[in-house]
Amino acid sequence: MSGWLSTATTGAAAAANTSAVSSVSTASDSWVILPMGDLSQRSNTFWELFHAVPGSSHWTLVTPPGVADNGGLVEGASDGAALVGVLPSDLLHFSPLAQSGDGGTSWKPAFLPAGLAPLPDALAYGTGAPGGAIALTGNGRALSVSGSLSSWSPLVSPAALARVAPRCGVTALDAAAMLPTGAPLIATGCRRGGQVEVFTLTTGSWQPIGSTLGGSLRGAATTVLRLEITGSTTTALVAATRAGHSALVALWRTGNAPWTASAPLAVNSGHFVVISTSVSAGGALAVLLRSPTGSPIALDIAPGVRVWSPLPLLPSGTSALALPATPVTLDAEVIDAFTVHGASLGVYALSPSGTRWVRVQTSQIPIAYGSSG
Amino acid sequence: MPGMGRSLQTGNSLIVSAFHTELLHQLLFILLVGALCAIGFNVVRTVQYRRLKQHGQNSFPTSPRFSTPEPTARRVLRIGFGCLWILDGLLQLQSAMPLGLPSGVIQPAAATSPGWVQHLVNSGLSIWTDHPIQAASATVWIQVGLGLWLLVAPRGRWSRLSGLASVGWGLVVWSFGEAFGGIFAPGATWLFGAPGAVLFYCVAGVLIALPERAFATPRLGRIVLAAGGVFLIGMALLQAWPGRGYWQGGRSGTLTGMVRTMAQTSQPHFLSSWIASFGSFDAAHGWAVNLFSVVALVVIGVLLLTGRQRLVLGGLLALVALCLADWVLVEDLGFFGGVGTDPNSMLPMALVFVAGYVAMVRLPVETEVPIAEGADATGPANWWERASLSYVTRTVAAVGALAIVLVGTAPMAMAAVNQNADPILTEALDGSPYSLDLPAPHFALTDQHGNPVSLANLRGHTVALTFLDPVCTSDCPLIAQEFRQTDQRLGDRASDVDFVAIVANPIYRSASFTNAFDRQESLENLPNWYYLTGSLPELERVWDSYGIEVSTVAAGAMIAHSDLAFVIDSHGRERDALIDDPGPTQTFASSFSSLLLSRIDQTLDS
Repeated sequence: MSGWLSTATTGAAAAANTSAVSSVSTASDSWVILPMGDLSQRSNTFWELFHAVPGSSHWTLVTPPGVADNGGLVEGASDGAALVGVLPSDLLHFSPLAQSGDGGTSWKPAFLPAGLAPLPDALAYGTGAPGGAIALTGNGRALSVSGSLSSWSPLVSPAALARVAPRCGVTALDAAAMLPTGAPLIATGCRRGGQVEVFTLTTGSWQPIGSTLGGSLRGAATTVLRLEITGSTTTALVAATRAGHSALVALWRTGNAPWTASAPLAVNSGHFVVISTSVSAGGALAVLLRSPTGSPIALDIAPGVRVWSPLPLLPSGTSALALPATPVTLDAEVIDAFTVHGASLGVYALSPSGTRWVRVQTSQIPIAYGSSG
Repeated sequence: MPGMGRSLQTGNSLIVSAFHTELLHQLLFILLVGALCAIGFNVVRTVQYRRLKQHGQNSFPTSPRFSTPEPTARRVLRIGFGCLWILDGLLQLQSAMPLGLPSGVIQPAAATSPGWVQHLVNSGLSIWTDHPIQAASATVWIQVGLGLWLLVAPRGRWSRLSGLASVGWGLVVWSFGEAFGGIFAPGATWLFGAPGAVLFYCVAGVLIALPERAFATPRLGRIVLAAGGVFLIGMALLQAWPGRGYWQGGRSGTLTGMVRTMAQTSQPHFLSSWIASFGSFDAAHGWAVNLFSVVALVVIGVLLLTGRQRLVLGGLLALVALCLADWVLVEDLGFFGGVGTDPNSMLPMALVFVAGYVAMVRLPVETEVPIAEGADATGPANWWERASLSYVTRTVAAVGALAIVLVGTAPMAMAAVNQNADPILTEALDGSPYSLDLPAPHFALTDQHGNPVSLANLRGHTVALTFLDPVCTSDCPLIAQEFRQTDQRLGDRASDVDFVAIVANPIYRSASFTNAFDRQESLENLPNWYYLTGSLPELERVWDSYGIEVSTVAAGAMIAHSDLAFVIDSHGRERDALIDDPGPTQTFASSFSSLLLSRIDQTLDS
């Protein structure tokens, strides 16, 4: 399985705790979720899902219909399919789901008896055998369901995982993923020890398969921002905080080999804000940060590379990045940037020289202002 | 359509018309009270005359009941605040008052106050928002009644009681209407009315309620002036406090901002130009303006504290001049723009200080009361021998004024204890229910438990029917709650009524979603609640037959559908169709429920 994913949070929408969106792609599909509309008002902020096929920089609006998504969207994807959850908002306290097997052309409703957590990877979806899905809920627990998505049952709680890895000091369930075998992966935040804790369920019991950060991040508290499985590679993006200093670290693991970690990307707490994260089909990562001056800054990193690379100055209003799959290669050299101005979407592709952004698409989205309140 | 919730404009014709009608009804009642008072007056005088005749007297008593005239300071307070209460009452007659007072006056007054103040204000505010007609008309009569009471009862218990009533209502207005005059808000300033105009009404009420002998010496006046002096010095200190923006000129200056906001309100051009000019002056010389304010308040405060007549008089004249300047240039006369409810703080404050000065310098003069020949020096023993024409007239007039206050108080008290909002709010927003007498279209669907339910099954019961989207984020949960509330308010009669919702979402329509909706809205244990669904063709047929439009909107919006409810009688005939757009949540809570309940009651009774 290969894919990429992107997370975006912007402006007031982020302040309104609608920060968690997720998108997943496989070798055959690319997805990105963006907040659009009047971002200063939660009821007029609509989260839109866009889809592209490999090799194309044309993004098509495929937001699942039938429910207001002012609270945000969360997505889990698998080969040729996607499962999208609508975050609770206003008076809706549970999360309707929608599944698609045709790149978002059509959607089928599915039921989740709880509200999803506002986390980028709160949903994991597997379409192969045995299939099924995992959902992290707003009350901090994980639920799982078999292939038909008809009967959800409790999977695990933070307290249960805390007993498995006492050194971590589990804070919360941060992200979920599914191995090609259908086995669940759950990443948690750790209060101490520089632990990056990822758990998997093996023969009925939870096993920690995480890593420990060293160097300047030894003993740091950690939060897993992203957890994605592409083929045999598991990719994680971790925020670590120690003595008031924060850093982002990318980690990769292939099969059962040990994790490899990037060099820390210093993002001093409170000075830089992570507004978008993306994972490519090949496991590359891109992050979009807001600098202390308010300007957006983007960096990316490919698996096995130690140091983060800055990307060229971004177009004004950039709110997300995407590392779409290409038919030729699954590395991180193809990057799209998305600008949002109200209902207007702009897509910019990084030029082949990697020095400038070229506008490749402009779309006007039919936002239904005033329809949610 | 859900999500298209509208809000009521303050000039809503139905509300304004109902307000005027209520006032007219109450005015007729008051005229009736007036007539009764006139009859009562004549009865008293007739009885008095007969008693006097029986005791060999041929004329009514004319001797004054009091040996001294009413103290001048007390009269200043009584007449001054009587007129102010009447003015305030008349301002409450504005058509925009029922819907405009909460959003235009009360909420802005509390907006910058601490959370506990806002909580307290909101708890009182709900009385007004739920019952705007009753509350607005009640306020008119309470304030007009208080004013008349103060004016017509110059002496004795009735007069003192009017002072106490003034204090009571003043405290209600000060706490719930003025958010304690903004004294807990960070930007509180004397220039803009802190500590609240009505607090001075309360002070005046306390002084009027004192025994008249309190005015017999200069002591009371000195106390009032000294307290006023301390108050002004305190206000000066607050004004001088750094970091509150009053030392700052320019566009960002606090006072400049306030004045410019006032200048933008609707008012005669000459007034707005004065205020705008002062705003520009303050923008250019903000520091100097604040320095002048601080120094003036301190100097006046110190002069009042001296207690020396000439110095106090100087301070008082300066204060009155400052109050008038502030009233015109900063407070904008207090009642222009929006829904002004009183002339703000400067006039009542000046009145209290003037009364304090008068109490210090003009003491009541004892006059000799002539004693009739042969009469006991202690005065007549019987009321008919004592009661002069003016005494009887004023007593009856005071009773009449009290009756006017009660005409207001009674509906306000009823509104306070009624937890359910007035149905007129829903009618004003959605229109009145349509009365029908048609066979209700048939439906046969499946309920949330998987059981088949048809309209024919429900024959024998009255049915309240609506259409709800189980994954709606705004209106449908509110409508469901109003159905639930109606069910509870029916009490024992609920066993004769079924509440039915039919899914209004072509995508999220399975029983999983209807059950989740029921759990979310705590409907799952209501025995007479049915949330029905079916196949898309089945649902579409029902939507069509009831005229419900359901459409899917792109780009993350919820399903749009008609907000309609029907009352179907026990014979399966549609009796009423109601638009059930719940409107703004807080204002309309339970209003639709009241309307639906009345239609169900009518159907059950018929």
